[in-house]
Amino acid sequence: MISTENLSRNYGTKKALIGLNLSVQPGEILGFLGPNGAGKSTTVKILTGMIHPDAGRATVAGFDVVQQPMEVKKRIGYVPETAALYDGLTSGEYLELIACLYHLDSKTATTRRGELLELFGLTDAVGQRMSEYSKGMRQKVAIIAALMHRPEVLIMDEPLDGLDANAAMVVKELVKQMAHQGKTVLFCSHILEVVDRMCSKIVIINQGQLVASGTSEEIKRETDSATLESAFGKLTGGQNVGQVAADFLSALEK
Amino acid sequence: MRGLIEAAGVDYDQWWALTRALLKRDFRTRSSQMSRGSRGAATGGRALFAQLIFYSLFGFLFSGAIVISKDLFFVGVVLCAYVMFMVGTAVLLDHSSALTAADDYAVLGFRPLTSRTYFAVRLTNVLAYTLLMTAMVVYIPIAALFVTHGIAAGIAGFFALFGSSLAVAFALLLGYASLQRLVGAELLKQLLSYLQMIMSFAVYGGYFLVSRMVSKSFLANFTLTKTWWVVALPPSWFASYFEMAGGNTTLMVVTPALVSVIALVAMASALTGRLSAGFADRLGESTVAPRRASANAARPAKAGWWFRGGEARAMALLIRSQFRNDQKFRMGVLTIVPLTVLYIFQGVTRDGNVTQQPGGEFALVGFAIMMFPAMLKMQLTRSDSFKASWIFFAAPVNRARLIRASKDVVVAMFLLPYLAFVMVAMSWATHSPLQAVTHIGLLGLISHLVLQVTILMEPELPFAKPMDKGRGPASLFALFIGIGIVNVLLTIFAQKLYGSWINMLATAAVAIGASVFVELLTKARVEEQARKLEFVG
Repeated sequence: MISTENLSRNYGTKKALIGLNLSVQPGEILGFLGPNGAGKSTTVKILTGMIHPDAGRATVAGFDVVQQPMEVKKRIGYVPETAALYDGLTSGEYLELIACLYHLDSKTATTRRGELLELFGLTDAVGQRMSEYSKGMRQKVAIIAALMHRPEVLIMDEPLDGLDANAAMVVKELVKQMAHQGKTVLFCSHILEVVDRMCSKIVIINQGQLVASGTSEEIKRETDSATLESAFGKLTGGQNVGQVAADFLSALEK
Repeated sequence: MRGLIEAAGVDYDQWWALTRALLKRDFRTRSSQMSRGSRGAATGGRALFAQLIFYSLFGFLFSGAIVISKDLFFVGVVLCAYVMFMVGTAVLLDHSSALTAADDYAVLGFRPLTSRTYFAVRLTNVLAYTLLMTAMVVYIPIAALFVTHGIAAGIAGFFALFGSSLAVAFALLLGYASLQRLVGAELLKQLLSYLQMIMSFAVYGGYFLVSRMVSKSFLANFTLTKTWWVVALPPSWFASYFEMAGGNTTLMVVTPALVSVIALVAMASALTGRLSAGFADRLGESTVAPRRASANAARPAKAGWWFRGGEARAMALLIRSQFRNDQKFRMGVLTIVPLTVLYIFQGVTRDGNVTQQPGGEFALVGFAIMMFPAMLKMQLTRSDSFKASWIFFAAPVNRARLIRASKDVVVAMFLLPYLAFVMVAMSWATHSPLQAVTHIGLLGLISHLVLQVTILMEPELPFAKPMDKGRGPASLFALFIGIGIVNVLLTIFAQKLYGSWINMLATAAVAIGASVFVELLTKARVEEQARKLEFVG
């Protein structure tokens, strides 16, 4: 599970996160939403042990991210927002490296790597350096790298970015089935339809603070909105979309 | 091995996997950089072989000194100093990523990898490179020591040279880790870039200094008097091994040798101990946390009043902003400055005179001025942000005009200020402003011509190619040869050229005429080539 209590983080004088409280139970898929600069990435970086909070506490799979970062890292699978990979390596070499970092035995690693690459249609490209990969191929490798060690907790930051429709469907279904197996999933995305359909619970943050939490239906009801999109707009100070678009057009006329 | 590594608190499996992967990656990246983007082990092998030849040449020179010199301690000091300098420079210049691989954090930051293991990987990486490089330099001198001074001297040489190599690598890593604590990774990265420039200045400077000072008779007769001041220098600590191998065990020999061992042990202990803790975290957090925008970056770049609109203004804004914000580009451009200063210094110390021998004592200044545009062109076309060049292909712009505009911007922004700087420096150096202005003016015209020719040969959009896409085609090499020939011709015909105003004006007219002619040629070719250009992204 994932839990945060009064989590805060500043960058200089800018408050990126202000007392965030979150809770994601095993078997849950939490849709973590917010406009650009709301503090989503900061939260994710704290939960993955990449940066430290200035105040508050976060636990992942029962371990404190500051006090026991290695225990946390062993149990999470993280798909970063941008698929940062070692471009000079082939996908085969990279996944072998990842398997070693998680201490997977050679036989298990080879089997899982081969099967996952095949499922994503990357078998033919396994000997190719990743610098030559397309965005979607890189994303697939990042997803495989996050899943190879069978993590208890999945943290996915825009995991569908760059994927073709078929691969995206596979990933969505995969996430759902992993949740059914009892894994905890934190799913960040700007595609609200996907979040609406997939996530059992949704948290929306704005300017570093939690502004809504609950199921999609609860949030819609609370904000008196027909869609999650309009609820999101109301909660995050989104302007009248039609008016903004009209203003855009009139600005272009000048 | 496993026991030893694990005793240091390092995860052996992770260390081994990561070391292999990073060495493989770095070797491939360097190979493709050295071989114009070609891939494959064969090219990597050729690149390594080229390095072996390069370093072996230095080793061969030093083995000559070993054979000729009567004072093995002196040769040892020089050799150890060279190894230390070479390793230090290489770590800072070629393998700075081994020290500042902050990007690793984006890939590894969330993996179950301790800071100590990560640091051990980085340390292994640096040591693998430095020891390989040291081996390439010292194998011939060590062989010469064995042959000319016996087994003991050979063994002493082995430990002295590899010891000095290790010492400088350790010292740099320690210095880096300590500085990183003090000033932060971001600022340190910038400082390292400037340090790289100073080091490259020292490399050229050292070469000139040594080539002036050292002759065969100097080497044969010089003996280094061992004062406490001399033995206080780190190269002397390791060179003392040579003395000990010869049976000298006086206090002035044993003490520095002992100091060298203590220094190595102390630095290794400091590295594996307190400095490793939190190294990756500090380095990494600085890369994943948003950077604070500097006041400089916050100010919008100005195109300059002479670039009023369209493509020219766009290019002026782009190049000016890149120069302000892209450290690699800025350093690439500024490298010419210390080089030129050194060449001027070279001319001054020999009392050169521009009028009588403009290409003579100051020939290298001329070479630098003519080379500068070719360097600029190289820096201008390659960038880490090459993918942003899609805009040149997606926007309804005239790409040929963009290329020509980028040349004009380069002339206005870099070439003219550089020429003005050289004019002032040369006026000071020769005490003859008129001669300096005339000479540099003529060289400036030729330099502009060179820039036109480089664009004619390979019209490219600015910042539109990846950094590792080679370093220019064979035609660029031909251009360098051409510049060399022009420089020699200038030297030969200097007297006639500057003999009268008519000759000078005629030469300038020829240069301007050639420039106009090449401009017309360039215009036609750039139009044609610009249409064929494709986005690399």
